[in-house]
Order: sequence, then C-alpha cells, then structure tokens
Amino acid sequence: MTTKQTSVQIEVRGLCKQFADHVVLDKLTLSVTPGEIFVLMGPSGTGKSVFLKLLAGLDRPTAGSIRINDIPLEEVKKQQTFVLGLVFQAGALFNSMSVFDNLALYFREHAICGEDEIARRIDRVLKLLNLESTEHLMPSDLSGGMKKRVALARGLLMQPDVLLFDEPTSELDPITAASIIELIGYVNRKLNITTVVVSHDLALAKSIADHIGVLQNGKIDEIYTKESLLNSKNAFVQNFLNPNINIQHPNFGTLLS
Amino acid sequence: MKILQDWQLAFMLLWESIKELKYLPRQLNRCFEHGCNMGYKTLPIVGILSLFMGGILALQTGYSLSKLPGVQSYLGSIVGLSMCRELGPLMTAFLLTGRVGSAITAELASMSVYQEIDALRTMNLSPTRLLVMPRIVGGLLMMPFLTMFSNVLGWIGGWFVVKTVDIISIDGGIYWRSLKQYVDFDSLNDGLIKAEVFALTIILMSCSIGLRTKGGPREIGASVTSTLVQSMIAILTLDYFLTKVLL
Repeated sequence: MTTKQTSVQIEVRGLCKQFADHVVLDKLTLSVTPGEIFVLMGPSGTGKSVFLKLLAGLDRPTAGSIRINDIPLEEVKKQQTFVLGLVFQAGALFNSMSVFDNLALYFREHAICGEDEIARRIDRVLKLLNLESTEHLMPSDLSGGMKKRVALARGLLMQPDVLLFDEPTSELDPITAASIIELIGYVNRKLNITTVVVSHDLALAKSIADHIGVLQNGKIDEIYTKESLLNSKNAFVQNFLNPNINIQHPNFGTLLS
Repeated sequence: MKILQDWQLAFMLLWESIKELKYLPRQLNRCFEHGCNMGYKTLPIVGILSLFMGGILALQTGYSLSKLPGVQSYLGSIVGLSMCRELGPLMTAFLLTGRVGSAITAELASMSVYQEIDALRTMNLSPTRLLVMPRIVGGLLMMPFLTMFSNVLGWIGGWFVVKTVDIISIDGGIYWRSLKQYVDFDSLNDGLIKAEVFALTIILMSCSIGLRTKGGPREIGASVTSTLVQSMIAILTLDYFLTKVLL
C-alpha cells in the first residue's frame, strides 16, 4: 500500500434522484476536499445509500453532476482516470470464491500482475487488517466484522483514489464497530485517500469525520465539523442526534392493548 | 408487453456478449467449467428420459403399424428421424431449462440481490464478460454432445422395445437397417442446429432475467419461474419457425 501522492476532490452539484414520483435526492450539493473523511448521516431511508451508488457510478442521477478533480464521473469511469473503491454494507463478497480468490479477482481480470505478486500484495493487506490465515476460508465461514474487513481489503487492493463506505458499522457489536471505525481512520491517515462514509452511527462521525453532512428531505442544509454538529441549532439535526421518543404517546396504548 | 421486453433485453445481452468475445482466451477456464457443469448436471436425466422417450415412441408407433401389414419395417426410420430432428433437441432443451437455466437465474439473481454484481462493476469488471459470455460458450459447446447422447439413447430405447414386445413383429436388425437408411447427415445436422439455437436462447434468457433481479429472496424465486416460462415459450416458438426453415 502506498500513500497517494495527490488526493482527489469530489464536487457534487445539484444532484437529483427520483424513483417514479418519489424524490430521494433533491438538488444535493457538497464538496469533499482531498484526503478528508466526509461522513454523510441521516435516518434510515433518506437516500444515503442511493447517494453512494451515484457516487460510485452504479446508478445515474436524474439531474446534476458529480466531478472528481473537475472530471465528470462518467468520464472517470470510462477512462478509468481514478479508481473508486466501494465497501458495501454487507461486504458483497463473491460467495462462490475463497477470501483469496475474492481479493485476487481484480488483479487477475485486469492482468495487473503475476500470481506471486498477487499473493504478496494480498498477504500484506491481510496482515494490515488482522486477517492472517483467512485466505482459504469461504465468505460463509466469516463473521460480519471479518466480512467487512475482507471487503475493505478488496477495496484497498484496488489502490483507490476514493474510498466509499456504506454503513460500515451496521449489524456489528460495539467492539467490532469501534475496530472498523479505527481502521477507516488509520487507512485514511496512512494512505491519504479521500473517503466518504455513509452511516447513521454518531460514534463513527464523532471519532473520524473531518466534515459531516446530515441528509434531510434529500438535501444537506449545512456542512458541520464534529464540534459544530453537536451544537447545531437545526431541530431535525438535534432530534436525529438526541431522539425524543415519547413512550406516553396515545398510540402506544392503542398498539399494546 | 413483458415477453417482448424480455426477448429484447436477451437480444441486447447477446450483442454485449459478442462484443466481449475478444476476452475469450482469458475466460477459457470458466467456459470449460460451465460447459462441464452443464453436461454433468444434465447428462443422467437426459439419458433416462431419452431411453424411455424412444421406447414409448416405438411402442405407440409399432402398435399402430401392426394393424397395417408390411409397414412395421419403417419403425426404425420413424423413431430415428423423430428423435434426431425433433424430440432429441427439444427434450434436451427442456431439461437444460429445468436443470441449468433455473440454476443460472438463481445464481445471478442472488448475486444481483446481494450486490455482488455491483461489486464487479465497482471493480470495472463487466458482468457480461465474467458471468454471461463463458456460460454461452460452455453451453454451445456442450449442447451438441447432449443432443447426440439423447438421440442415441432414444434409438436404443426403441430397439429395446422392438426386441422385447411381442406385438412388434420385426427383428432388431431390420429396425437398425431402416434407421440407418433414413437418418442421414442432414437430419442430424438440422437437429443440432435447433439444439444450438435452443441452448443460446435458454442461457441468454436465464442470464438476462437473473441479472435484472432486484429485491429479495421472493424476487429470486419469481425470476426462476419467469426463466422457465419464458424459455419454454421461446423454445417452442423458435422450434416451429426453425422446422419450417429447415424442412
């Protein structure tokens, strides 16, 4: 793994995504500066993962643009100018392949290097992520946390210019979640890769984010730092961070009777 | 209309697969693996059903011909031509749909639902190159062998009935001579052309439906059902037109 000489900047301008009549993203605009960790937060179902798919070029926006170092994303994907690594929520490992084959696929199919070099690179990244001696295991033999680390290893092996994480701490126990958070921060510091994390985990945002956006009705009203997020006057943000669940609500009684 | 849309998308997938053929040398292992897998999965059931199909055909036809003196000697040619021109390719195609087409759809639909296809795209790897093209090549290589196997087993089934059933009063030698006299290279060739078209249709339809699956386990099941229905409709429709063209 080598440190990126120059990290890339992501510019999102007026991004819209609509499914039938449902507007998921509404003229979303934001900028991610080179080498930073940007965390996009928001309640479930607000379109965070949709945003990440658009950013990874897996879906097309209804309107708006995404530019990486001022090059449109479509051009980036077509010309392979920059590499975008996406770590999926559930890992998305290829279930019919061993961990080693999962990690080697990118090199083999793009004919990047020989088998000896592939084995050397995989060995190194597995050591970095504390995954030694898992090469021969199948994805079904791995725990949730290990799957996420293997998915991260796969992303790192691509030597990406941008790393995207979809809910990296979901469905994990607090200790494993903390280790994944630590790992994202460590990788960002060590390799200086521009990183975008989509999550509703406040602990993650508080510990590693350089900037934080909260998605509300398909828009981000303000970009926060760790400190300014906690002092936000925005009622939606405050309610998201400190949810006020009224157990005395009359509907609870109706439901339980 | 959904059927027309499925046909159109399957045709577009064929075009994409043709464009990916330049990567065939690096995918040869996968082609071989898929071809062997398809043959291994389908061979036993093709053998059993073809044996009985040939036997039933000989029994039904032999019984009807026994009422017409002197024409039972044509039984070999009837079984031979029916198997190689029609029943062999058609039955192998139906079995390939059930055994292989449904498995392909289930696998690709599951990959799609669990974001493995998206993961490939993120790695700038084409799902068509890795998942569709090798299956098409493997299927096209395997289908002629399966069809010929079906033909031969059908002929043997017919011969077994001729040998063992009393109402059919011809000798096994006459059965084989009649079969050899009428089953020529063109008849075999026509059957193999049909078989290749059917194999291409089944694999394209199952890959196309599988890759487009979204949702969860319920949608995977629905996609498998859709593959079976669409493939069978496509096979019978194509069979009619191919028969007209090849006659």
